[in-house]
Amino acid sequence: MSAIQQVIDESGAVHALAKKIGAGGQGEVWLAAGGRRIVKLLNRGGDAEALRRQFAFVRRLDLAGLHVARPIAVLKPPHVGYVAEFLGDMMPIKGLLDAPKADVLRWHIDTGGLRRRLRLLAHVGEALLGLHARGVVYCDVSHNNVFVSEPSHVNEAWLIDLDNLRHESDPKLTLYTPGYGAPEVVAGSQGCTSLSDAWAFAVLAWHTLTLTHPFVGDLVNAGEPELEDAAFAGRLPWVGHKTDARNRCSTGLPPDVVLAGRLTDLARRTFEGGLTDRKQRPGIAQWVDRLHAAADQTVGCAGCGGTFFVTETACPWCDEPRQAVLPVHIARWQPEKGLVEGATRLGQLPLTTEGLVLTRRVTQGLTGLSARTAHVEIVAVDRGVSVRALAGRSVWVAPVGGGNQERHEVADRARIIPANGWIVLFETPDQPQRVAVIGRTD
Amino acid sequence: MASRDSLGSPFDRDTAVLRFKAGKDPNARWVLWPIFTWRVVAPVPRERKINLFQRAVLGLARAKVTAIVELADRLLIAPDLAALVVTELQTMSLLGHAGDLTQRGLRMLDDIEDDPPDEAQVGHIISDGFTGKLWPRFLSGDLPVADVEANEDGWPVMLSGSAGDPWRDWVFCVLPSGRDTLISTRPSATEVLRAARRHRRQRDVDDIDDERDVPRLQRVSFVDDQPAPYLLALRVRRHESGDWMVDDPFGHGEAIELRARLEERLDTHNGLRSWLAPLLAADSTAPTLADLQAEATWKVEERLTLTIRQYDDVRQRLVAMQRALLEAQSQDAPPDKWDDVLVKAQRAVERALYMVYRQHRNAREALFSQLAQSDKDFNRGLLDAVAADLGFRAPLPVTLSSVRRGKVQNAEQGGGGSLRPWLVLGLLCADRDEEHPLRRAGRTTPELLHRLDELATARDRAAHDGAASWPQKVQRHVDTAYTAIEALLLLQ
Repeated sequence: MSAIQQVIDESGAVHALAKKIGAGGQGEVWLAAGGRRIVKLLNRGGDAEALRRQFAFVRRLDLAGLHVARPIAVLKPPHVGYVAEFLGDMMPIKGLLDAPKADVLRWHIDTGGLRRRLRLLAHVGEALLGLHARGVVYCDVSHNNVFVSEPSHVNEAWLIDLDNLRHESDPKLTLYTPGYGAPEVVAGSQGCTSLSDAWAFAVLAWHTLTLTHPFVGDLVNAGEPELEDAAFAGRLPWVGHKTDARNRCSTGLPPDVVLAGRLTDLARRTFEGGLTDRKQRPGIAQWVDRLHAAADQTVGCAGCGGTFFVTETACPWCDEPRQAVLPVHIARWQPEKGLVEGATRLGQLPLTTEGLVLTRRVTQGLTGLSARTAHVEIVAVDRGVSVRALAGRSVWVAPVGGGNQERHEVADRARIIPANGWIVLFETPDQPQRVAVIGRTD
Repeated sequence: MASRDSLGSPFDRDTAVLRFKAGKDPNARWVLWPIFTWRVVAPVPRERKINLFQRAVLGLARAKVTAIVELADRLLIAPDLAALVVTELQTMSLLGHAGDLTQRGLRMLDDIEDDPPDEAQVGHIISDGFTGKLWPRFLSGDLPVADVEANEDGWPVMLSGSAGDPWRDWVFCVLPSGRDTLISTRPSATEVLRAARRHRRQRDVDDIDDERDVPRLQRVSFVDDQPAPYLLALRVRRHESGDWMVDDPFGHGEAIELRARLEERLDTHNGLRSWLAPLLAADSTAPTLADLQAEATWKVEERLTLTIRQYDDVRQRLVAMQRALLEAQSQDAPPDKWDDVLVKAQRAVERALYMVYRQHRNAREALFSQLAQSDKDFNRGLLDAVAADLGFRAPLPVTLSSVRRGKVQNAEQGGGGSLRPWLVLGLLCADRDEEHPLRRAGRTTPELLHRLDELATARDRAAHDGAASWPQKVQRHVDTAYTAIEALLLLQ
């Protein structure tokens, strides 16, 4: 296959194969000349007609606004395969799972640390949610099919290989990567569903955060290879099982340090109750919410540059004491009433000299890609708190209780407000909205 | 002249954006400018492998005309020139030693005769949407339409970077308003050729690293009767000199004319000035008084937070002080400007002390009466003891502890007086009031009274005929004023 120098797609476009960037059981992946497209060449045994049908199905889907690498065109015979967008500056999330043998903590921090992993996983979950919202199942969530930004300061996540998408749950058409298959899919009793995607996502989340597979504990590590098959099929307890300690894990990063209590709870519901009853598994939406919330609750370490949960008094990676934290409480505000209580709490974020960039997910309660736009930057400074609006927008600052009398517009030049008792309004003050209450208000 | 009024304006927020330069520059500002593009097709003459005389001599050689004199005669050129041409062709192995045609020469002639005369090159030229003026640029090939997404208000945001490291540039759209007339007159062929020629010349001068070639054109034809409207992305950024500049969208350095166009619209196009404000602030031209006032307001709020707005009398005096400081710091300010800063700094502190006194006074008992009428030692002892009790460094400077009782009385009863009487009044008041802010100031800044006394001394010197104020010292007195006001009004 490597002798092929160019392929032609169904529209007649010629794609010169410039560089092989991957190979596996299904075939090879090539970067096309020009650097903007990839060509996936399936093995000769591939069913060209099935691929064409699958491709037509995927192309009918409205995938706008999702971070999924859309196939662009099917190849003309004699080749079997398709052309898709190339994801520049990205790598498989596997690169964040395979820890080096030495200096794991330094590597963990250099590759973005805890906060980045939480945020990346949330973004993976959002892409899966988007597919589920369009009535399709991804089927093959795995460390190979999820791509994340290569630069560690960026948190983009994309799904590739959309030829796996299904809109029906047929046990004969199951597809999974070993270690990621839900028990009912591995057993062949059920087809792929959104709940089998949720299982695979839970595996990926646990593995990415703790650096160990949720079913590969000390028992499996020390046992025969067959034991791993049993573990992947869910016939052994997961490493965090509440009552069955047979497969506890003494390697990887401690779950209590890298998963907040609520994330561990989601994992438990997935890998215990959800083992035999898939309806007990939490959906991906719950994972997304809690992953974002957990990422919001991390602070940076001035010593090692790592990130950790604000509930710790010292950095778990280097023991540097946690820096002072000022609470930023997200609340509701109405023009005539001021701060009002709602049915649900909107959360509290820890502010340090590292600063907070509030996205529109926090400031306006949006979800998906549009929610990732940075809206406000808040930084603790010597004499108070610096507030700056981002992305060409404006925000307003006002003393708590004085929002109708005294308020000041803030654009891209920061204004300094006192460290306590002021609010940041994210929209024009004449409308009900979310606000950030800085510090204490008593 | 073809013109369009705004009712039929082809420009709106959905108009396609042309962008020639990408890259991450968080400090730049992007402005979208309306342009018209005209698609033209032009025959581009092929590069000749041999020149006209060489071709003619080869042709004659094929007809067995090889003698120099005969060649010169038939071509109506001097024999010397004919000999030179023959020598050149022999060097190129197109003619043999005897002037006869070689196989290679024969192939060359065949190639030339088989070549199509010219290539057709499609390109675009650009005219300004507002003025209709043709830009001296010729864009060969396709136009670089930018990837954009709409923000929630429907305005374009330019996308660049990669999937793994995307980058967004927010933009300001200069869309023609109802008052604007758009001009889209089709340029003449001569104007197009001149634009291409000027672009080519400019590329030679600037040594541009650009894949787009600017061909040598001799004729052009317009493909479309009407131009296509686009918004051209202009990058506005800071020049090394501190001034602001507009990048030439095609990579030819600074676009002075485009900057002039933007300047024309700064105050007529709503929002443009504020969009470019972070860059305009660095304009090397002298700031106006309004600029200084605005900058001083920012500085005061940065130093004392927005809480200072609750004490507007003091804030106004601080802004005056800060503005005077900015004026004094300007390059051509006379030295006496520094004196103004001291006068205004003292006024700000006096006002803060007055406000604190009004809040904490006890109307039933006059404070000044604690001071002796003429016993300076008694007064010094009393004030030193009070200052020490409050946590301030003691003894106090004599200039402060020997303020006459009459001046303190004047401050207390008449609201007048200068800094030192107000400080004494504050000390006496704080001695009786557990909540007085000077108590907290004593604990946090024990040197404060000494520093304020130094400010009063410097101000007296500045107000009367004395030596000029030293800039470094003035800056320290300004800090003292801020510290005092922060302690008196804000640290609660």
